[in-house]
Amino acid sequence: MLRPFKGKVMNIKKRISGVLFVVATLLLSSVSTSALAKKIRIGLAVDQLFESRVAENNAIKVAAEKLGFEVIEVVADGDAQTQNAQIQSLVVQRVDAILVCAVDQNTIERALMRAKRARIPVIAYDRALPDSRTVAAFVGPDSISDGFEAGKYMAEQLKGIEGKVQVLELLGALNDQNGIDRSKGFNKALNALPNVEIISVPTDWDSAKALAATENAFQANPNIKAIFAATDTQIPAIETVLSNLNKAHKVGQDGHIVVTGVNGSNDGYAATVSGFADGIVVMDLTNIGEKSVQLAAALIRGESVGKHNVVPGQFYSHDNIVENKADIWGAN
Amino acid sequence: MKLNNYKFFEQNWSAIAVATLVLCVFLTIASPAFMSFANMQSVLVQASVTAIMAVGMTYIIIGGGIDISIGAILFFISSVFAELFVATGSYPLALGVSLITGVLLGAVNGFLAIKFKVTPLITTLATYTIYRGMAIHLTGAQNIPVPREIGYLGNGSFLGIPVPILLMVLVTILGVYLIQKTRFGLYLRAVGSSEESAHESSLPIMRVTVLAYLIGGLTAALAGLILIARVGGLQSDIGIGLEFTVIAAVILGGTKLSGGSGSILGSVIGAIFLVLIDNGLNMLNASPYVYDTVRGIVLLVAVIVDRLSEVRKSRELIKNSAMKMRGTTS
Amino acid sequence: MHKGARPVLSVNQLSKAFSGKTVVKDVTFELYPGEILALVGENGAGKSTTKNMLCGLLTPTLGQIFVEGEEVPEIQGVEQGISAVHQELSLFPSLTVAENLCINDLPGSALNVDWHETQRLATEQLAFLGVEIDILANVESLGAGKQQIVEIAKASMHANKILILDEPTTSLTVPEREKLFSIMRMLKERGVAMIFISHFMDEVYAMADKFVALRDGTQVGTGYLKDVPRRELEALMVGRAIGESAFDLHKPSEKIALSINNLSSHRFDKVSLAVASGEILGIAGLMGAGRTELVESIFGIRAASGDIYIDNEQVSPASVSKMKKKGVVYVTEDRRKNGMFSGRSVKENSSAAGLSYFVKQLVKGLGFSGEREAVARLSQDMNVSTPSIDASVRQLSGGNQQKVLLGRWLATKPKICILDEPTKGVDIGAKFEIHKKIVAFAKQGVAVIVVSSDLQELLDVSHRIMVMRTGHMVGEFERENFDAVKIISLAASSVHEQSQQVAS
Repeated sequence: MLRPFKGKVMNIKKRISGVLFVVATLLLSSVSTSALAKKIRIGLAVDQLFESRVAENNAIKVAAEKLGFEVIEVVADGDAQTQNAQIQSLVVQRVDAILVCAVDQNTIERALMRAKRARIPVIAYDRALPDSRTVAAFVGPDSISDGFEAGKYMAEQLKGIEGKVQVLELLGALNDQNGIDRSKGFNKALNALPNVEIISVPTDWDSAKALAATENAFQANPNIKAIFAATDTQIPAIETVLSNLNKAHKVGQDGHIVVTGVNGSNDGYAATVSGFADGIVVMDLTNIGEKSVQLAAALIRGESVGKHNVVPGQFYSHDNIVENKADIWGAN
Repeated sequence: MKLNNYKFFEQNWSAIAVATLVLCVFLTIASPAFMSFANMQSVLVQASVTAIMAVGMTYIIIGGGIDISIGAILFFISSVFAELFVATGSYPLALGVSLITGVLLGAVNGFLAIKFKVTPLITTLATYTIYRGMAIHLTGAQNIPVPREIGYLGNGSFLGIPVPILLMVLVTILGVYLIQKTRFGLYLRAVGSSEESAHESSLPIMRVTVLAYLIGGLTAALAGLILIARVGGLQSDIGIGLEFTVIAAVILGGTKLSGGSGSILGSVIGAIFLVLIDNGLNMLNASPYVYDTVRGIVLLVAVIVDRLSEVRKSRELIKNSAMKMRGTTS
Repeated sequence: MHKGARPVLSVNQLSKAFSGKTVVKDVTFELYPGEILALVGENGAGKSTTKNMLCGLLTPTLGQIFVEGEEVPEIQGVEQGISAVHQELSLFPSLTVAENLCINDLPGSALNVDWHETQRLATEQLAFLGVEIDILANVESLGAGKQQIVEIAKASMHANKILILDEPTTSLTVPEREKLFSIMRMLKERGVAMIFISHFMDEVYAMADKFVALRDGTQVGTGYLKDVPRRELEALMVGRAIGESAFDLHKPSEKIALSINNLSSHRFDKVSLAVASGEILGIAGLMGAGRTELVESIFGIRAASGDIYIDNEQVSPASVSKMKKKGVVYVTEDRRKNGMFSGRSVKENSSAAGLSYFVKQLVKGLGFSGEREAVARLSQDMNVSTPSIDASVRQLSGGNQQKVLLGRWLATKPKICILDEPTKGVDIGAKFEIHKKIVAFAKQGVAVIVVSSDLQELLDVSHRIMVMRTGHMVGEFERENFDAVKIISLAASSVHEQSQQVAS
């Protein structure tokens, strides 16, 4: 544990002489001794709070507690400038590592540079920062796999239907890597069917927009056979539309519209249990949380880690979801 | 003769009405599914949330103010409703408390806007953060499902007409009535037109302003209840950015941000116009990547058309007064 | 004329003091129904304070007020049937004429305003005044004249006893003015009494029955206008015997410092004048006569055609930087807007124009050595009363601000100095001091042009006065021939005929 601090002192010793040296040494030794006495602290910079993020953060906190780490959580409420300032303040507080879910990659890069200069390792969680030169590692869901699993199950249900099959894809936000990757995986899976036509509409993760988009899509294409929701929190909105159109038939009933989604919220769970939805891919938030903290611990120890770490989710269908309730983070 | 009194209201919303009509004609030609009863109905249902809030916002803007916290009010009200309903199981109780809370939050905005002579943009930015923060605190950022059966406001229908459309029409009629037929309506336009003159005429500036913001809060509450009933529950990202959509609808409807005049009907048409853009894109199976660009371009065109008529009007005005000036000096 | 009837308003020894300083005193008059009383006086004579007491905006410090024979502690306004039309309009621009007229007393209930009745009342009121204005038009779409008429219609709608009109004609065209007068006659016929504030003497004589003349805050005369010839009233307002001067002026040199020849722009026409070194030239004229525009053109702020010579050297077309280089300074009318850095200190304001005159060593060493001493000397010279030269000028009185501003420019040792309304808004004492400075300054050989609406000021300080009217130089008076009455009539009397000629 002493080694990194000693290194720092040595480094400064080389560069600074005279009185400045004495002052700096005194300051640093006081910092290092107080830090020694303290727990390791991890800064958790959250983009904003919503259900799955809260669950993910909780998983991180549980994992951190296991290792005896302290977590300092800051929430940016969706504002990139706020997040920028929050990361700077984490740097000033000299946390030992920063876990960040970025609001906007470009805006926080400056703040992350400061962290890098202060030798604080940065780990992006949930949302990858592919262009960042400051992030040591990424931990998050395997969104391509998640989208693919949801698509694969849907494709199986649609197999054997004659003629053109229209499928509605409710995209997440087009500037969100997870949304893009889920769509990529989903499309790849559906391409197994030759007669499928995918109608993609953006929703910006907003249920109200998903609602309107679903209504409109059914007006334009009344024969849509299946719907994929990039987040299963939109499934209740889909149910509203289908109920109004008298198309909300359960799994196994005639005229049932196949509905799958990704996430693992209670909305998706309840809809799958009731049979409105066929199944959902549940993100493994516990694993993601644990992995984030483990990576942070390794980086603090100065070990090198893998750069890209993804955790695939698990698909649960109407038939097996209830028995696996314990593994579904949102189910209650 | 009677309607002549509102000649200028008619002028205000004519531009957006024409734009809406043009868009409808274009979409009817471009997409066979567009001009159907069912699609028109779903357009109106989708517009209801924005339209109802736009009515409230029109009041605030006519009175010379602005409220960017209405999206947060909507979220807060939805949280109160969901929590209260889950806790008590009483729909009337949850509904009543929610609407009253909406009134209170709006009134607080109005009171702050008039009491501290800071620009209302700043005070409502502050309340935006507070209301949203309180709601997140209240719900722990959890989604709360609301049983579909009680979602009458969002999903029910009365005499075959969806309830959101009925509510939108009702709010519009009430909104037009209040502004055109009541003393409050005239006072509000007067206060927005010139606060100094209002002061000199000893109009009840405080009461009028607070009432306008209060209506804004109430319409946000009502819109929130419709929205969560339709979406099927409370979600923590509800209402984010909604204030800008609403303000866009109001401005498209011909209401000037400078206050003093405006059009309730224009705001409602503006809200419908905004929904039509997305509906059209969906109808045309447009690439998801063109949505934002098209939205932006259509908005820009609508604003330019509106400003052109405005410029023409002011040019005439300048010409008139210039001719008068020539009479006095040489 | 209304002998025997009861006066609708009578005031006795009305006085107003602000923090112990009396600004208006001993205003006494009686006003009968249907009478028009003119409140006359020069700028700063106390007309607005008196007006504000009479319409209820200010409570008098002393004096008695009787409304319809009953003594009241103060005037309340509309409740007593009294209302005023101020120079700044109080209309709602985006409301219709009908709404504006009725907003204070809407027919119908709170939840159901009777627009039919509103429109009927508005139509009736406008018809009563004999004007045709679209009652459904927005006020902002009307011209200044119609807005003024709407304002009067609104005021007289609820105040049927006394209407106070403060300079109602200043922004009006000739036909609009005529319309206004016919409305006033109409109201007069219906028994409405009016208090009419105007600086146009021919308007006063055309419209009013009696007058109250104020000078320096004191009522100096009242009576029926038919008994007082116009020259006598003007002398009363101006206050001094004609030609009397406060200063014994030095004799200016023969050398012409500045001359202009046939200078024209769209605001004035073919103006020629010359000022000698050490001479003080006054330019008199009414507001809008083109005086400010003229001097702004000389200083190069406005474009103009014609020739300008400084020391017999042609400098036109003028530009501000060229004129500054030639040693011309221009001190503007609106000091707050144009010259004063109101948040900054007296020191900075004093030295702003000519730092190099103040600072001996601009670069050498730190700080502007000499600035403090120089400013302190200047402030003392100018009699600036300030707590310290580091105090913000905002804390100073108008007179002291003006002294700082004058001092600033005078410190740059100019050759030609143009002063536009140098004592506007300045109290009498400070005014006298500024005058002394101007005279002392000219004595040092500076050519001075003073533009002022305050005729007495020009009479006091000028060697020569030129009179401007609607963009033309219409007269010139040497000091020994100064005649206030002649100057006033020249500047103002035929203003209507003049503009009528222009308009037709």
